[in-house]
Amino acid sequence: MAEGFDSALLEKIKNGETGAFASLVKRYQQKVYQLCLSMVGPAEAEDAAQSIFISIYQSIRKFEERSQFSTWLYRVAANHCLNLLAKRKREKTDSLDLILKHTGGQLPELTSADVTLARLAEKESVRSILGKMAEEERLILCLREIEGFSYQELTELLDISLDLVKVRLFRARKSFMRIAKESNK
Amino acid sequence: MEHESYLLLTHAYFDGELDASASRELERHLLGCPDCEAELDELKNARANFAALAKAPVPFGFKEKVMRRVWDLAPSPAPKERGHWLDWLGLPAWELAAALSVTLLVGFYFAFDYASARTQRSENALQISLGYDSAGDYAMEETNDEL
Ligand SMILES: [Zn+2]
Repeated sequence: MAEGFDSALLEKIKNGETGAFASLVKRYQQKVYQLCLSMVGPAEAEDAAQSIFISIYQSIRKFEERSQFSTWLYRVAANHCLNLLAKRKREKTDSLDLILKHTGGQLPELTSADVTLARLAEKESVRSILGKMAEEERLILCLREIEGFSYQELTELLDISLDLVKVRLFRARKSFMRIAKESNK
Repeated sequence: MEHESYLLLTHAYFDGELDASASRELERHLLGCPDCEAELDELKNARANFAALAKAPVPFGFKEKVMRRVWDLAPSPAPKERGHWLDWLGLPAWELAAALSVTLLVGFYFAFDYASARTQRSENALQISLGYDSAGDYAMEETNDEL
């Protein structure tokens, strides 16, 4: 039923009815935005979610419906978030290198603005715990806990075996609980 | 089975991903293993935390912002301004110019034809009513409408 609705919309969009894409956005915006919020954080979540829908629109004619549309959408979304995080990590390293270069190897002290930011992050405890997890573990945990995907769906979405889904999810939850305990100390 | 394996099973059990017989086996184990029981409680607590996260509302006007970007990319004409008003006809400039001059020529021909016919008629009518509207002007008005 749900997939039938998606297929009908996809056909319209592929036939040039651009307006039909709005229905698709409306249908999935909440889920995609939530995933972005948990994966990349509130500052970049909206931009990320917009970009995900734009790439979906741009490659929609290439989607041959071999898998469910929602699986494909989440795969695009997940990859986009992972790419963003990887880019952020690179930039962080770059800027740290730059700071060290300019300060002769000395790290500057935290300003009061930095401290306020750190405290704000603490308020959002679940999100801040997620932020401390490895990206792949964070992703599978969000897909399971927030998006509610079954193990079978996770194998398709992440393109990994059922055993690996079980193990990775187990590890992700252990990390989550460990970090939660540490931050409660 | 090792306790570690049961721990892994506890997670699958929590997710409703164990078949009936595996579920029964785990439930038997849970009765005698406080560690696995505690794990199950922790999983429930963690999920409760996520429930709050899942309710974050989508930013206002999100869909509209996406669609504005989509219309900019769309290959079909978007419901937005698209350059000069003549572009609307979808014809190249020289074709438009040619079409326009043909229309004008034909228009003038008929206008002239109509005007002279009208003058003749009004000359006849002048004998009946006092025509202070010049036949020529009238004809021009009509041809204007035709054009
Ligand atoms: Zn046990």
